[in-house]
Amino acid sequence: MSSQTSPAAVLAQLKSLRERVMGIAESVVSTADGLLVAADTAAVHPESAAALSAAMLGLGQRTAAEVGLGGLRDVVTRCNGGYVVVLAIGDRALLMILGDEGLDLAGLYRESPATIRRLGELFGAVPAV
Amino acid sequence: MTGAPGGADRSWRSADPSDPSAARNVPALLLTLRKAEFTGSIVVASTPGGTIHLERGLITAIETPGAPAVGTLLLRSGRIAEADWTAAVADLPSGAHGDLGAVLVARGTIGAAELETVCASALFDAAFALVLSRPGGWQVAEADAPARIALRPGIEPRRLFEETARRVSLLTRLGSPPGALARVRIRPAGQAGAATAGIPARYRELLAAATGRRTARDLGFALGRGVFAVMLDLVRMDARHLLHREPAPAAPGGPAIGLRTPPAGPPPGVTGPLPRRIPGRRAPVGADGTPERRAERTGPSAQAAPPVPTESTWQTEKTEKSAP
Repeated sequence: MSSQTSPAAVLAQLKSLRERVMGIAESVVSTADGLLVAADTAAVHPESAAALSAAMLGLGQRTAAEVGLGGLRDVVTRCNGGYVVVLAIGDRALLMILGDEGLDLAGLYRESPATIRRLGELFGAVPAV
Repeated sequence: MTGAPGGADRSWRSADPSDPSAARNVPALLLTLRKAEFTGSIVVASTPGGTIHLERGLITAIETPGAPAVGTLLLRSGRIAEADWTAAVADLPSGAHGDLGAVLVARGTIGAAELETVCASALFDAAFALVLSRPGGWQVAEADAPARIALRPGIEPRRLFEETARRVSLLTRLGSPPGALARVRIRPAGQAGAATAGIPARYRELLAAATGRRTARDLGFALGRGVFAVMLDLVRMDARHLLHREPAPAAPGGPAIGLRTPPAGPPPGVTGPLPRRIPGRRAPVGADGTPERRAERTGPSAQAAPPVPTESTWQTEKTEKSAP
């Protein structure tokens, strides 16, 4: 997937999302199995973040299925210093977003669907809408 | 509130959150709710917006993604250790009215006076950040839970407007209108590294945190400092050629704010109640409910009547209101 996708185009989407939502610090796009595709990062180790995001999303999906609460929407981890949000891009890729304590979660939920859709188009994996 | 029952009744009607003509913008709304001694919150739905908490009409806390909250200021600056914070949260009495500030003070984690100072500083900073938000609608919620850490008894709305206007005009006077400065991402200038010897520690801290990806707001969150304080330092550091400003990308959807240039000098002093419009009346009505004396005033003093300070600084437009 990543071989056919221009990393610059993916990175442009990540930067645009960072501009639109207050509080986003870094973001990583990876394949569903945790291989790094593109990273807009400053401090975190992109490969590690990619691997962990796949694990987080997988765990979330498995848990959602186990407890029968319907399909997973996203995985949000609240820390003392900020947030980690993992969103699925179709069923083959995922997006991890790191934000500070002031992350505008409402803004993120408003702006992320468009970014997810465009990233999905870039990967040629347009989710059925 | 003082005044005849009739006057109080009238003020209640004008403060009725379901009354669509009660206020044109958030500051006008705050003044109306102050008169009504409203307790609850206003959820401002601009970008990023925030929540303004009111107790008896006084502003006790503002939560917004645009400025660090009290908890962020205390934890990020290292004033309070994470373990102490977590322990205080665990000690919170159950129910919607848990006062985390009181628990922190009771545990001896922080002094009451120091907490009050931090609360006031976070409150003014959040108001400043709200002014930089793009305009949007709002909702008044009476049943909302109070802020977990709040300033009590709170701040008069007018005092908040004056301080916010002062901050905006100070930065503008220094050549950096905050609306534009808020979007700039900052990186140390090339020569900043060589000249660290004579630089105050506070500036060095900012230089270390300025990665070229962070705005003033992001720096405030990263360091546990107020956004306004960071902006002031950035302007001074810029004057010493310590900074490089990354070109700000065009803000999506047009400029973030339409800040008008505030009048030069300090904001006009407000001596009396501001005139307010009440539906069904021609003349503005004073805060005491009587027909505003400005209608009778003529001559220079009437000309010099201070403009509603809110109009020059708070640009939020009314689009929707409701009282759940």
